[in-house]
Amino acid sequence: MRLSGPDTTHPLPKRLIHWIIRRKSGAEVPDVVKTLHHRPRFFGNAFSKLAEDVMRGPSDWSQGDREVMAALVSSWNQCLF
Amino acid sequence: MAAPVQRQALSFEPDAADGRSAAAGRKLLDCVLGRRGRAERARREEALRRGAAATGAFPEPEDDGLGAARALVDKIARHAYRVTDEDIAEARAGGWSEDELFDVTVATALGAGFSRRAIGRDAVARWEARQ
Repeated sequence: MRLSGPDTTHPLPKRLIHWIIRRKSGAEVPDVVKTLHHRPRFFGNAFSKLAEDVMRGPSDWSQGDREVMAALVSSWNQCLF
Repeated sequence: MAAPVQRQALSFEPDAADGRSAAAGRKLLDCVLGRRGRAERARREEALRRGAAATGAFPEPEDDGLGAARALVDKIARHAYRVTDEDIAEARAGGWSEDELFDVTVATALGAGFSRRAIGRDAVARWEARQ
């Protein structure tokens, strides 16, 4: 990532989660997860709650519908995630 | 394509009384503009408003305090996928710390996202009013 902070600087509880992810998956922690875990009280904690509500909360759309919409908009933004 | 209509009365800031996800959006905005930011609050607010203004439906902020980070913010607001290492280097050379750049990156993205949400909800409300 272009900023080193989101790549390397996380509070201890989040670093433990990263260790578990690496150990269980054998893969590196996704950049999105690292970004949400960097200075989480500034951004990631509140954003995760919003994302959970929007993507999983009560809605006339199914969770699958919302995932498809998110994937479509991401593709328009040329975002691989 | 017709030019987008500026909706002067439309606000892109979530209204916490407008449901659960709006309350969560308001909480997020309060965090990003609050005391845990590292960049000056005025700079975060300007980045937020530039993110929203890029839709064409909200006015450009009058402030111009982003200096060496202005080009980066404008790219994030309009086409974030075009950001390069050179954009970051330019902002860093202009005195911005990485923490401050993280702040304005997030603020710009929130402005871009919340403004699109507001425009979409306004379009739905107008359609429903015609039914």
